[in-house]
Amino acid sequence: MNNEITDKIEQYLNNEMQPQERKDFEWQLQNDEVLKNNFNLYNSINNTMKANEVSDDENKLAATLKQLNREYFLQGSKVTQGNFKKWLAAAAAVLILVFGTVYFLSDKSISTEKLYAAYAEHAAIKIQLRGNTADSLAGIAADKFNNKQYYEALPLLQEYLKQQPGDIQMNFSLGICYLEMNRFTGAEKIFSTIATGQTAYTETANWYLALTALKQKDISKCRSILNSIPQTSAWFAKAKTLLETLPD
Amino acid sequence: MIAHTDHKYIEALQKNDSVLIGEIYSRYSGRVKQMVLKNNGNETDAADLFQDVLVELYRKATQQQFVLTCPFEAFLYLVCRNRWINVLHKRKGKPVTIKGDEGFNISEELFENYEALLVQEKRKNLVEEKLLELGEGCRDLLTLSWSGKPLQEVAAVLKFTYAYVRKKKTECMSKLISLVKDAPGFSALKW
Repeated sequence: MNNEITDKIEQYLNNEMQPQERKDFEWQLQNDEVLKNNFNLYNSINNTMKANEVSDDENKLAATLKQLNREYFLQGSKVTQGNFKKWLAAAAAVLILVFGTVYFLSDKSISTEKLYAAYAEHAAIKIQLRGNTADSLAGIAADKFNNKQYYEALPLLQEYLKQQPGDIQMNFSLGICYLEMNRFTGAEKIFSTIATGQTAYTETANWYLALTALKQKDISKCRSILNSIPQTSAWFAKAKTLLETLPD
Repeated sequence: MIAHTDHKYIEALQKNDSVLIGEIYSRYSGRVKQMVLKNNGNETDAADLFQDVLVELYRKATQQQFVLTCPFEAFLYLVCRNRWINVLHKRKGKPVTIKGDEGFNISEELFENYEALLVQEKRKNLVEEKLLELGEGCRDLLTLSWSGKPLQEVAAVLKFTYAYVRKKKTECMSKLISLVKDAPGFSALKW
């Protein structure tokens, strides 16, 4: 499609046209099949891709659904069990209170989403600014990343890495952005490359490959990566706990 | 396209209407739960599945104007069932069949609604594939602009002027649209 048509469509959608120009464009939309098709395609692509964003409304809906899930799927199943099982359920609830995180991390019925949320603790980007252009880009990228604004951090990190391709911390953080945005191919590519290298991030990259598999609910792959983490790794203890908690 | 009266459930998801959403659970969650429990899943799997599908329907309705033209119960069950087959396939690494729903019939209407849902997924895959053929500058700009930020903010984040970003976005969208149009599977997706 040529830029002129795209520009007109954008002017129309952004309300940048004068009233008469707008009317003319609408008349054309009705009568010019090619323009109409291009207009629909432009909107379809935009609407399709906007679907990636999680809105506040969606978070509110998720909260309502979580509440109902407890009622209809989780507690509900306990109601239908016998008295002894009811007692067991109550005892389990007390255990949750007593053991808190320990119980949470060892509960086999926890979903992969919850497991991912519990284990995916991303280290903040720490940088020393020296005042050049690349540094100012790094500073903004780090702020966005540390505030969990992964959508915004991603292009900034990419831009920064064009100038400083050897910055392993930033490259690793880019992988985390991909992971958080569910762009798993990008995440795996970065973590795999780092995992096969000899840097301070090698062990961490292996752990993140396991987290990438977990987030994709690929339990067998996650398990196999976790099993390959050696005892000497700083991530061994976490890997062991996660292995014990993974669903069958 | 005429919406089915059950489209009220889709609207309930959009409005976060807890009463009607509660009705979705009380009427339809039991069948989905039984399907998961009979097919190597537990209550948590069923809850996650049900929630994921409802959120997906919310997104399709909000962002892609999905309209339900068949009864909600069968539609919801079909989406959950097929999603669960995919989950099991991933877990086991081989194709699976679902037990216990032998009497489940897929009407033409139901099939069309499900196809509409899938078409949107396929469109997204195609656009993502073509996005990779664009330069990084275009990819970053478009990804940011789809993240819901006004173009002024996108320009500030990328440290360009608004005028430059505006012009560049037009160029990037033109390229992307051409690539999508030239793709072999384009016309089958009924844009």
